[in-house]
Parts: sequence; C-alpha cells; structure tokens
Amino acid sequence: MSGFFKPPRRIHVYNQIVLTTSGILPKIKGGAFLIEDRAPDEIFTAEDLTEQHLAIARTVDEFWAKEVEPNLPAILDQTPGAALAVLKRAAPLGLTAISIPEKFGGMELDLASEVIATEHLGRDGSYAGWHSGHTGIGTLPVLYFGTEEQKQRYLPKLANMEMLAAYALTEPQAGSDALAARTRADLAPDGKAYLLNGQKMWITSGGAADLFTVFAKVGGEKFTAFLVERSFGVQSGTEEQKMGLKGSSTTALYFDNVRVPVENVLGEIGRGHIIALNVLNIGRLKLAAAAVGKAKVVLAASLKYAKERKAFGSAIGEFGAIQHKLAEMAIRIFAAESIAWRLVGQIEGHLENFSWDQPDASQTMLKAVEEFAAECSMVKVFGSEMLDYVVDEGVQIHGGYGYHHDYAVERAYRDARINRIFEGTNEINRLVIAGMLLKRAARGQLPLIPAVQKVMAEVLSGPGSTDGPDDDSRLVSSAKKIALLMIGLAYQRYQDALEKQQEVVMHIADIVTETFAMESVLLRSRKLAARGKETIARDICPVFLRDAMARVEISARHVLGACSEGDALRTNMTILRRLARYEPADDVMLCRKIAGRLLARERL
Amino acid sequence: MAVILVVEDDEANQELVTRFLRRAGHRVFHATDGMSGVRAALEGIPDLIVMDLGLPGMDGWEAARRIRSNPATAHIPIIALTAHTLSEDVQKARQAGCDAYETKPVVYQRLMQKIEGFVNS
Repeated sequence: MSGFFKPPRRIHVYNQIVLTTSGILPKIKGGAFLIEDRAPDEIFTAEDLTEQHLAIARTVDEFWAKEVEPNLPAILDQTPGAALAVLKRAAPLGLTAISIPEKFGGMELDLASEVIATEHLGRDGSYAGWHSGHTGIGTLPVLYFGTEEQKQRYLPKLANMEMLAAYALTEPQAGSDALAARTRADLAPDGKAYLLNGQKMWITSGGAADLFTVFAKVGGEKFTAFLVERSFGVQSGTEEQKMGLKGSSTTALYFDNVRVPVENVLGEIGRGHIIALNVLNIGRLKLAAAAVGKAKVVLAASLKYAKERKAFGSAIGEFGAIQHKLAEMAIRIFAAESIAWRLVGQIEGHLENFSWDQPDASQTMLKAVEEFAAECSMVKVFGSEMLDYVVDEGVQIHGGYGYHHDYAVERAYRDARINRIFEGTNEINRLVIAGMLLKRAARGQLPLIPAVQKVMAEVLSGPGSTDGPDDDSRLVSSAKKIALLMIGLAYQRYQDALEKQQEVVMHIADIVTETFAMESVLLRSRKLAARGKETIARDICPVFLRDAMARVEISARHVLGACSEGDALRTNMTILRRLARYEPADDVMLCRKIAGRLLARERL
Repeated sequence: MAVILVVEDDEANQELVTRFLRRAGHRVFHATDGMSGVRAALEGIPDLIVMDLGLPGMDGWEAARRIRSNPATAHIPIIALTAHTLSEDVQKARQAGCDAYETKPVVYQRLMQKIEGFVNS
C-alpha cells in the first residue's frame, strides 16, 4: 500500500473505465439549489478534476500547439480542406470520440472529460466550431437517439472522422421557433423512403459535412429527425460571410426530393422536438465551457499586454483603472467556470455506475441531462455574456491595437458575439430557465411552491434572520429568498399567463442565474479555503457576491414594479431592500490584489 | 498493431492509457505492481512496456532493471510514466533501463508518438 493518504473517492464507472472525483456528489434535483443549501464538498469544481482529466486537457493543449496553431492562418482563410485535415488528425488520438462508447470505436470517457476537452479547444472559435460541432450536436443525436443499427452504421465513422457530422435545425423562417419548420418529409410511393424538400440555414460545417441530423415535418405536420447523408442528394449553399468565426463553415442546405431511407428516421416520428431540445442542453453546457476556455486566453493576452505596454512612464498594468478591468474579467470567468463545473458534477451525480452497455443507457444519460435543463440554459447565458464582457474589456485594454486585425483579441471580439445567439438565443434560454423551473414545480418534481410560501411567511413576519451578520453566506441566502419571492409574486400576479410576460420572466431568470452563480462561487471559495489553498478565490468571492446582489436587486425591482402596486409595492420594496442590503467590501483593494496575482502569473 | 504491457497500479490511469492504446489499434495487457510486471513481461513478451515508476511493493525502477537484466525481456522497449520531473529522477529511470519517459498527467499525443516510434522501428 502506498503511504500517501488519499481522500475518500467516489468512483465513476463508465463501462469499467474509472475516472475518480474526490468528495461525494449527491444526487440532487434540477433547480433544487433554490430551496436547498449545499456544503462545499457537495459540489464539483474545476479543482476536483482528476489526473486523468488533466491528462486529457494537456493532450488537447499539445494537439493545439502541434496541429491547430500552425494551421490556424489557413483555417481562418478557409483554405479548402485545411480545418478538416486538422480535425482528421485529432481522430487517432481519440479527441473526436471522447463520448462515444468503446464498442463503437470511441473512448467512452465521462462528461467531465468531454467538457475539459471542449474548454481547451475553445481557444479559437473557428476551429472549435469544426471540432465541437462534430463531436457535440453532430454526433450526439446518433449516440443518444440512434437505434443499435444506426449507431453501428455511423458512430465508428464519426469517431474516426470518416464522416463529418452536422446538425440542421434552423430555417430561414424558423429560428427560435424551430417547430415552425417548413422542410417537409413525405413518404415515397414505394414506402421505403421519405422525400425531403426544403431549406436549412446557418448550418455549422454545412459546406463539408457528410452526415446531417435534419429536422423536417412528416406530411407537413409531424416534426421528426432524420439522419441524412450528403450522398443522398443534399446541396450546400455558398459559405456565409459572417461577422466572426471566419474559419468555420456555415452554409445553407437545400433538399430537393432528397430520398432518405425509412431506416434513417432518428427517434420517433413526430418526436423530433425531444431530440432537438435534449441535444441543445448538452450543447449549452459545452458552449459555456468553450466560453471559459476562450475567456482565459483573452485574459492571459490582456495581462501580457498590460505588462508590456507603457504609458506615462509605467506599464499600464500598474494603473488602477486597468487593474480593475483585469480583476473583473477574472471574477466573471471564475464565476462562469464555477457554475459550469458544478453543473457537470450535478449531471454526473445522476450517472453513478452508468454504462453504455446497459439497455437503457441513452435514456439514463438523457434523463440526467434533462433534469438540469434550466441549469444548462443558465450556464449558457452566463458564460456567453461573461465572454462578451471579457473580450470587450480585452479590446479596451489593448487600446487601438485591440481594434486591429493583427491582434488576436480583435478576432476574439468578433467571434464571441455569436455565442449569445446560437444554441438558442439568450432570450430563449432565459425563458427556458424560468419556464423549466415553473414546469418542474407544476409537475411536483421541485417543491417550489412550499418554499415560496415559507419565504413569504418569513419575510412578512418581520426582519428575522436577515438581521444577522452581513456575511457572504447571508448574501447567498438572501438571493435565494429574493428569487423565491419574485417567482411567487409574479405567479400570484399573472398565474398561467406569466409566460406571456416575457420581460418579467427574463428578470426572474437573471435573478435565478445570479443566485446559482453566487452560491457556486461561495461554495468553491470555501472548498478551496478548507483545503488550505491560498487562492485568488478568497478575494474574488466577496467582490462577486456583492456585485451580483446589486444586479439581483435591480432585476427584482423590475419584477416588483410589474407585479405589485400601491401599499403592496411599498411593502415588497421594504422587504427587498432588507434582503438585498449589504456592507460594501473594499473592492478597490480586493481588485488590486486580484490583479496583482494575475499579473504575476499572467493567467487566471 | 503491437502488444503492449501496461504496468500501473492506479486503476483510472491504467484504464485511460489502455483506451488510448486500444484506440490506436494495439492489444494491451496489464500488471499492477513491479513484481507482477516483471512476471507478465516474461510470460507475455510484449512489443513494448509502459511502466509507472511509483508502484507499490517493487517500484518501477527495480522492475525495469529486472526486465533489462533478463535476456528474454532485455530487448523490450520501456517507456516510463512518472510524476517526478526532476532531472535526477529521469536519469535514474534511464539508468534502470527505461528508453523514454513521460511525466504525469500524461500528454497522450507525445506518449503515442513515442510508442509509434518504438513500434515502427
């Protein structure tokens, strides 16, 4: 036996592969963070990644340095075949097959492995579009919804890059309202195939993919997914001239009586929306991870520039104005990273002893992800908006050079913008966040209503526990109470018509998301402190919690204004002010400390 | 395709390196400590050995020395996996008979290139 003490390990068995995480991950319910408190050891953080996960991250980094970076100019110029050639070199390493079961030629690793690879591939959006588009929304529909025969036919080719996969949902007249698709599928007279007619738009890898998951309406009515090979007769439009992601392929697709064998119906006829929504859930988590990866690269470049660039006789990194920007970038990245890995842990908590050999493996995996559909939308919204903030400040720190093509931050700025649009716009995702929580409450999956009633009774009875010490825990506790109160008041006011009050719903989504981030940052910070690690988290936490609470309060005011009036409004405002009250931290000093550490390390 | 012996006591590391090797088309068998590694090498005569150095019982250095000192296994290339990055540790691995090494967490792209280099030579 080794003489080293090892903490208790929870072992995740994926068909005999074992990737371990320290601590115990409880099996919790989606949205439960609003009504339950967790201990620091009950959440998964980036620091819990195992040696095996770090090995995958380092392997991706090496692949990036040796294969992607030297070819990036050709990829960005859309030199024909350049990106695909690099992607094909990722296949022998298994980097195109992390989630695919071994029996279909994959690596069969856990979700954390897929997410860490995504984060490290996220450093350039164009290549990430090719790679993650293939391994994510390209491959996952077959993996999750394919029949055994479909999996055997396609997954080995997708793992080995014999085929490049893409996902075709959006149409010229059907974007956020995907179910309004006009592409139709009609059974051919011989009954052996469907004839697809219509058009898709904004299809990632549309110019090069060999296999598409295409959504069409059978008989013009039943929304259904099909696995469509390019060789069946799919035609691609010309490459779109986009604001960013210049090196990724984005085209329209045209279907003119494309004959698709009936065996290539994916899932059930009329149930295509199940595929569309579930694949997007994982896509949203991966988008958040990629955003964290990209933001870290931009922060590192900004730190380097701030140390090198001189103004008024000093490096600009010595000025408080720049230090504040650097610190704020790091704070938001830290928060986005905290919620993304917490979500990974929550999903993994539902996958103990999971194996792709189990007969209902796909269903188990889908249920684990679907449980956290609201959280998937939260990390997407928070991650993409964090990235936009970081690239914007990155350009600002670079000054005029940040506006020039020769500087990577200029490209990062343009590339980042699409993240708020694809994988469901952030507006749609905000509606999903609140909608899913209410739906789960209505189905009895989340005891939200008793929790709302309890908080309402508590706050109406007087100051109560909120008069306690103004510490970080109270801020998180108060944010939860505010979130529950706003949900309760909005529901009281509008009841089943609440979903039509989109402005109110979006404010509630923002409150809920900030609350999730606040608790995640606090727990991660405490977890690191308990491990005796002197980290930047100690300074990040108090700044983030107070800034987030300020944002929560503003959103809550909007909700109150829309949902109450007169004496009720005044009473509610009194309660809100009491809950949202906090002593300011010395964030000038804290941000200087954070920036000082960042500048010394040149990374988060 | 080569036959590769992986000597690694950590279950997760063993499984991960195995997945990478299998995906590259190699056949893999295992040992979990130095003594059984020496025995497995003799019984299986693999084309290559991937050896963790920090093994329980007989460590990887001693196992490498024994594999090298036996004429039946002396020709087998050994790639060491080590958490130790100090140059003296690397030197120690080479003196024990290891032909190459990789530090943990393993960069699999580099490891696979080294393996291919030995297998193809």
